[in-house]
Amino acid sequence: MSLEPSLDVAVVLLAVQKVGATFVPLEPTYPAARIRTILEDTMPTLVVTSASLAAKLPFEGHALFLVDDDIAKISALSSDDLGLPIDLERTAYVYYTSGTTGKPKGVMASYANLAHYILRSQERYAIARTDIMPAIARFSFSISMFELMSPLAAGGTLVVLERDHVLDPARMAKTFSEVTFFHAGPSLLRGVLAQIRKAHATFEAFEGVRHASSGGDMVPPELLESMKEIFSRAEVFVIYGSSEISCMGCTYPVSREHRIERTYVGRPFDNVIVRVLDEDRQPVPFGVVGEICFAGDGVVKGYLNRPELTEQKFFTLEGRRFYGMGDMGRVSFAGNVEILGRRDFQIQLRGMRIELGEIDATLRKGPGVREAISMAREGDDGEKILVGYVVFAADADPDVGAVRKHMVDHLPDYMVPARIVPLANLPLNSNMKIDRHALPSLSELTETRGPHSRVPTTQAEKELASLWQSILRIDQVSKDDNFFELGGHSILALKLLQEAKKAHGITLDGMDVLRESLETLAAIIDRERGMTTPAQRGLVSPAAEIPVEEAFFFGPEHSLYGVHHSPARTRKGERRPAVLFAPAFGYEATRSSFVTTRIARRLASAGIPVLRFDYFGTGNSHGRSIDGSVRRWKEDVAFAARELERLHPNHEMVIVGARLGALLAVNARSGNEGQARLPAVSRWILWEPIDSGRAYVDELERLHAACLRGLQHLRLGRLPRVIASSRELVGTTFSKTALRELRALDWPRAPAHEASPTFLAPIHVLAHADAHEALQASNAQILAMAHDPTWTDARAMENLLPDVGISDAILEILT
Amino acid sequence: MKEHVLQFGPSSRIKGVLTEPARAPKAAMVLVSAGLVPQAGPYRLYAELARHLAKRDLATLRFDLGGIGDTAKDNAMASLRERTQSEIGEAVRALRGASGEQVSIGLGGLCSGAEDSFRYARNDRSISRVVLIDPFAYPTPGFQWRHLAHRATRRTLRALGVYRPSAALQEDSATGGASSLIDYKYMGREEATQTLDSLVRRGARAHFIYTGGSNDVFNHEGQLQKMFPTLAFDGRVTVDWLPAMDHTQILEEDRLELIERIADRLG
Repeated sequence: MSLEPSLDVAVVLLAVQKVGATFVPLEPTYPAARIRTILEDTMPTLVVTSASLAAKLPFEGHALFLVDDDIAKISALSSDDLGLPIDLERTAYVYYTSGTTGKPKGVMASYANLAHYILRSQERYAIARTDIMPAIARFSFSISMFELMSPLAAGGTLVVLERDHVLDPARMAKTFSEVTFFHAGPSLLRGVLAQIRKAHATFEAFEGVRHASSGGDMVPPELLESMKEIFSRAEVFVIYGSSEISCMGCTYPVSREHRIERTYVGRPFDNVIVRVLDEDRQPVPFGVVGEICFAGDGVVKGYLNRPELTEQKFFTLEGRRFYGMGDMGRVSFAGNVEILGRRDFQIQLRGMRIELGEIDATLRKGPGVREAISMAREGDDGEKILVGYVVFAADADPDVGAVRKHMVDHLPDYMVPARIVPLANLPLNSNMKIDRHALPSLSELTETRGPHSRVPTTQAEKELASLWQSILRIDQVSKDDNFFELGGHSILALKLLQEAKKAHGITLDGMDVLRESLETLAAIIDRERGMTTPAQRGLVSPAAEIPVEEAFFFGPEHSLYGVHHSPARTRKGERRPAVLFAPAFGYEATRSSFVTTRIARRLASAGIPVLRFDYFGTGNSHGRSIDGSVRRWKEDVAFAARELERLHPNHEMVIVGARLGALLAVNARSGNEGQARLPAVSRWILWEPIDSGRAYVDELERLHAACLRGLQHLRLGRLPRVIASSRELVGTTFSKTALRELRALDWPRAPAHEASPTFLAPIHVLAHADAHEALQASNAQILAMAHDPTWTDARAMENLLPDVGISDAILEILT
Repeated sequence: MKEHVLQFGPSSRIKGVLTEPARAPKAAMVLVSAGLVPQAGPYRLYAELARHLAKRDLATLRFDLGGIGDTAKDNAMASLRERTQSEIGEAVRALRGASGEQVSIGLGGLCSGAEDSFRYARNDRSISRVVLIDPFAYPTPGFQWRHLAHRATRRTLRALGVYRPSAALQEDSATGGASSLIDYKYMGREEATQTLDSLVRRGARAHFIYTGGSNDVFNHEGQLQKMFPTLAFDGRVTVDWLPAMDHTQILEEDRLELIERIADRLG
């Protein structure tokens, strides 16, 4: 069937089912190449379409039934029951989804699956004759079967909406005031709810909605809260599933009793079994992360003409046929499933599951493209968009427009990258595989292309920019950029020094590279070359708008040193959270000072106030480290949080903890009697946290022993003075008591925080079994980072920790 | 002793901590950032030194140069050296404002902080003394002989199993230190000679401290005078040679010794 949205769609669907045939929806907006692929795969006996579509779509060679021209034939036919036997094993429908190899795959469901799909949802949501339900999803997506069939099967009213209508928030807002029951993806809902808020002072008009559900993508808690508020009389649900399990996997009834802090997808529908399995496809305990897999009546027959893929994706366990969703998640002790992310490169974009592999494969076939990769990126407005990164062949004419046209010609519109970004090279990880996480984020792309970005103009600026682009694998560099702030690190800086000398005879100073902007570096080069610099011409670059930064002492007897980064300006009515940065400790704090400050400045520039501080006896704070204790350092986190609360009352508080700072902060929540305690924290972001105080001290001892060995050539056997009551470890002197406390410091057994933490950890740490287990057991979201170099490099003390994407990651989480 | 934050310079961009004695200070010091290490200094050397000096009635301002620690980069189109000199000047003015016009001011620092201090002092006649930890050094004939003897001793001890170089040292030796990003260029001898001459002539004092971290260029306290054979130190240029100490003093006993030495010279 290939039709524009109309009543005919419902008629055709019922007609196909009446004769026991197989329904294959074909989106008329698909590129001709994709339609041909699907037709070749399904070999349909009949194509139902309209005369106008038949004239422009590639249906040549196929038997056609034109719903407009052939209406007379339909009217002449009997409407009686044909009395045909119903074979539940016959294929009821085939929905095409994106495939990893560049070809779409047809998900083949039986009539038994269809019966399960419609009956289970009808039972669960008590769909009745009185219900009025709009069909919002595209007909080519399997969730549309729920929208089309549910009201028809229950005798209710189906509202078919044209595509332009669905994409117009104002018209959709009106529709929501006229229906009783709807399901919509979070992206579309977000826009419509915003429109409703804009146009309606009160929400009485929406009291007729008795069911509002969302799914198909991660549904953020705030969206569910908004649904509760606007549809005040509706039951609000999250629905989770995929075409392969007939969409109805789990559902979560959103409570009106309390505020939603995290989104669950709930419990399975009747006759559905859910399991969380490890890599060996063995069930994992409650709370442990694994792949979400389903068995039961909804599990479909497989993929059309793809037996190997079917065998790969569907498997038998406990005597039942299971399908692995590819989503990582866990089951809470209350039995609710929570989704934490994807295990492969399938993404969900505006409700659609898309295999990035298919986009990558199509990009690679683009004119002049040598390498390509795609990724979903989140923009400033929180919306994800597809970004295609391409590397053109050396002898090719790099034409992004031509690549875009190629994509439009071969993929459905929702799979065409919104941005196509040419790069010099694709970033590789330590295993020499393409590192998707190291690809420039939207904010980076926007920054370099922003209206205020100043393009290099002088010869030296252009030479440097070209080197930076090549070494950092970025497409644009502005005069105001700093090498390290663009993601450079010491090894890359060394490469820059070498290549600058080799290619242009430029001698750069490493200190200059670390601290200076491209414009200043170029001015230095010009001076060395005896050329006139902008400074000599009296030109001064415009001062960048930087957040207000104030250093001060606070806490008991003003003993703690802190720096408050206050946004230069915030948008009217906007209230971003306030961030407390609990820094690393000892030499790690010094090593990370560059990136810590950078994180604070970037957050403040985005309107998020930040307070960072030094623990008692460290940095600029008062006292000696030997007089410090774990109790005091935990309290310091609480003192700082109270200070931030004083500076920004009524702001939600986020704690970003790094290394030992993370462990101290989470333990500060459960302070002892008489100790300062943390105020309410809405979010925790923990950057490669120390998960065991004992392991941390052991590591310090190992490093310190290495330092002492390094000193041997100076001291020739003379041992450092040992004081019985203390122990020096890598430049910090701890009391024996503090060391004992540190060794006993551990991750709280029960999560001691009201909000689930997000872990930022490098891939190699996640791969470490013990650490991974500790992270999983801590009820957290885990965000794998590509750190290089890392916190735990053997020679870490000598190296400044660069911004390995941490600023971006934190900014993305918070905005 | 009391400490408070000083924010100074245009737009209060530069951030530092002023450590003041309980009584009116008899002198004051500005500590200049070392390399990329923030104002508390490597392993808090500057913070501990400032508090120790306060006990001897000296006020100290430690601060971050632009782009380091808590001080934002200045976007003015000037070279790093020009901006560093300008920022030290701002620090000197801020300290003078806090401690009083009559208080004599000295400058000090480690490594690049030492050289930045030394360079600034040449152009600001109000600076009465400088304390330079591991600054420039120039090998002399005596240095070469001692260096050979030291290497021979090490090799003997290594053969006897008494001494084993660390893996890091061996790697550095094998690569010629190529793994270090900061190929810091020390001040040339001509500039150093002129600057020191200028300081001595106007009656300022200069105290040099060399640790074992400089042992590839400095290995005897007598070497300093040999490095500047044309200059008459006249008791105004002094030196401490601390060969058992590493460049950033990772051991507390080394930091304490260094602090005592400096305090004794200044006090």
